[in-house]
Amino acid sequence: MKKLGIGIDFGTTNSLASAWGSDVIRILEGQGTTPKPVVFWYKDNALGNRPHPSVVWFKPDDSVTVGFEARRNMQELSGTLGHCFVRSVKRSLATAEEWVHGGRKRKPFEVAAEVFAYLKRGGEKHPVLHGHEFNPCVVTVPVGFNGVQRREIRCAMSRAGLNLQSFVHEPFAAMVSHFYHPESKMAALRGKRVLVFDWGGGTLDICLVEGSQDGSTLYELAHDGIADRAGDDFDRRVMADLRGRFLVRNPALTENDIATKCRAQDRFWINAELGKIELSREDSVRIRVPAFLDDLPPIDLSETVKRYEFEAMIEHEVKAAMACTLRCLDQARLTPSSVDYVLLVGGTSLIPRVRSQIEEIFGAKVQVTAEPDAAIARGAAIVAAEEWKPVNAVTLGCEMARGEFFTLLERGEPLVASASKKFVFYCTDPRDGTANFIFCRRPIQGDKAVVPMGDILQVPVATLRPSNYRDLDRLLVRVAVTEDATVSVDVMHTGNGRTAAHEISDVSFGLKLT
Amino acid sequence: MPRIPNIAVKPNIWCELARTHTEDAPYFLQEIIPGDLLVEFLGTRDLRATRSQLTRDQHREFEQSRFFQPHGQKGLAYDQ
Repeated sequence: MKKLGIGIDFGTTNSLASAWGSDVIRILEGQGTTPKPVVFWYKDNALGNRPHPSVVWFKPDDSVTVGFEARRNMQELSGTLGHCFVRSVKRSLATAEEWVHGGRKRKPFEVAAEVFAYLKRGGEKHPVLHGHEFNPCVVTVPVGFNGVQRREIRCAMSRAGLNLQSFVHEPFAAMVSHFYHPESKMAALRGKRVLVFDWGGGTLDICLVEGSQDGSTLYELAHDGIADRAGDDFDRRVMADLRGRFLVRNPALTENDIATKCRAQDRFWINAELGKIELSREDSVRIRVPAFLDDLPPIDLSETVKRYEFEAMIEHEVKAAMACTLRCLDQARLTPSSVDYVLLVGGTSLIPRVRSQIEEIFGAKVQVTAEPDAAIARGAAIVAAEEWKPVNAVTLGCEMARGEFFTLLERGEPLVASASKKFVFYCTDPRDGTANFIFCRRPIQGDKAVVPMGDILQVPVATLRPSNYRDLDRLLVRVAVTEDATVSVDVMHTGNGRTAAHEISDVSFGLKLT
Repeated sequence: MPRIPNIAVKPNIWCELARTHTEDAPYFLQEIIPGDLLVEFLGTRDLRATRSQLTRDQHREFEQSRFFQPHGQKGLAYDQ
């Protein structure tokens, strides 16, 4: 069985998988089409190619349905006995949330595994790629995901029977898809800097990528993001605004009536989302929800929303997104003029107000990804098929007494599970009872102070004043890259045997292209 | 008024790849450990002896520590 690289864009709202490999090129060229990664779409008669909603439906007979069918039935059956619907499971990863169905508790990673298994089945049934093995697999994660969340994704993938090769940040994958060419690979990015602005349904992710001069590596110089202000949140704002207008038009009704009698919540949500998307092209849009209230006779909702009204609703978020973009540049001590390309990914980044603000900062360097829904999955599939290995993009270390920087993980070192490195540290001042490890990135020109990454690791030491240098506390430090692309630091006091551990998950990814 | 933290934990660890695995490694700490602690090690407060052993930063730290020494002990604050 021939192998193909599979890339998975596991999204909060929608998910998508894509496959790429030499066989895809051969098959597509045989069919006379331009070779590019094959995407496993949901084909809707009315809407065309659509990504799969990340909705999981546990039925009374213990069977599970994922995707559009689950989302369609959520409206009618949500809350009824025996049916359990889980939406946006990605947000629940690494939380204590559980869903009880059929007397069994399901953890977020188990629900996520259903989404992965569904995407895998979709690929296996694909008419062009039937009979191929999907291995290895690359999955995309938001820039803000920590080690625990990545671990849950790995567990979910393993449960779904997928062999995870590596993680890659979502905007990074979209950039790979945009600049990749089957023959010249990523040659277009040699010595160039790209800022990727990925604002979709769930999160805003920004990353700044630099191609090395010799074209062998891509480095993520900086990344930043906002977790909970994105398209889904804007949909809810539009819905709240429409509900308010509906109540003004029907003064006899109250919020409580909407809560109890509205059986069209899902349809309302879809229409609000479609209306919002339409506002990127039109100055105003009419949003209609037939039989919005299940009354006698049923009451329809029909309101016109103007683009400037929508833009006023999201103005605060747009400003926050621009501040986040500038912060990302500042992390790498760069200015907008030192960026060669700006790439817009995700539906929210196409809102005219957002685009104009980005163009105001960066001028004419702004490009938009073709097929924004599929760019991330395609990029991940390319990384999987080319077997590009993840590397650490920014030197990580810790600050020592007297402010010096000590390197724990060099830029360019492989970001795959490896043998650990051992160091011996001395606590230079044990009088406060702890040895303080402050982890940070290598300071760059212009840094006034070290910016700590996460919490400070404190290891208990003897509090008594030592009478000799030799009595100073000695600490054995072990540094290793984990399977979840995090850096684990274990410290052991060689005298009292006390241990402490720390995990650096805010790692910048790079890709070794050779 | 917004409360801005104005205190920070200082790192107090030291490592040097070339030297920390050797037996006499602790002695290389002489320039890194705080001045007041080094004076404890030297076992003298005689400025003639400490001047040659302490760096400028360590001297400053030693002077500062004298100011903050607890009541009843010899220190700048007590002397004044």
